[in-house]
Amino acid sequence: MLGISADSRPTLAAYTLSLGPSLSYPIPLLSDFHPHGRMIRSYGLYNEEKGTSLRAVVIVDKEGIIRFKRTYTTVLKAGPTGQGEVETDLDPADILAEVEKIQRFSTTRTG
Amino acid sequence: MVDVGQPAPDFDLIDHNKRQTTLSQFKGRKNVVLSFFVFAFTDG
Repeated sequence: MLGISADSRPTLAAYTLSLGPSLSYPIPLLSDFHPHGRMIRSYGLYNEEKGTSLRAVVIVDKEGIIRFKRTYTTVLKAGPTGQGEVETDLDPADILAEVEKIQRFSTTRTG
Repeated sequence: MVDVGQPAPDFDLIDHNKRQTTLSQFKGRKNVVLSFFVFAFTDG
């Protein structure tokens, strides 16, 4: 699992530090800052108007083939006690299902 | 635009801890989930 945005590396580092103790953030966050958005563009996920990535999940199998690619949106809403809650049209179950499918296939093929 | 069934473009980027990370380093070893987000410090 890797996170990617067009943020600068220090921004990503500061972000992980804002969430918990140093070096404990479990997912590498990759910076596609310079040349700006080059990698994101190569996946067709760059928002030219905003200069950022779109929200998307891409699953690549061991052979380097794309098996899943979906963009999604989020809406920040007030939760029951007034705290912010993120609503999204991407179901995490869809991602898990695809990962399990790939792992099953891989296990079957290699015995 | 690359889509399902096509080879994923390789990349060579640094992560928040300055570790160099490529897609090809996982080839033959691991499936990879790439989560693209808009901005750090936001809701996604």
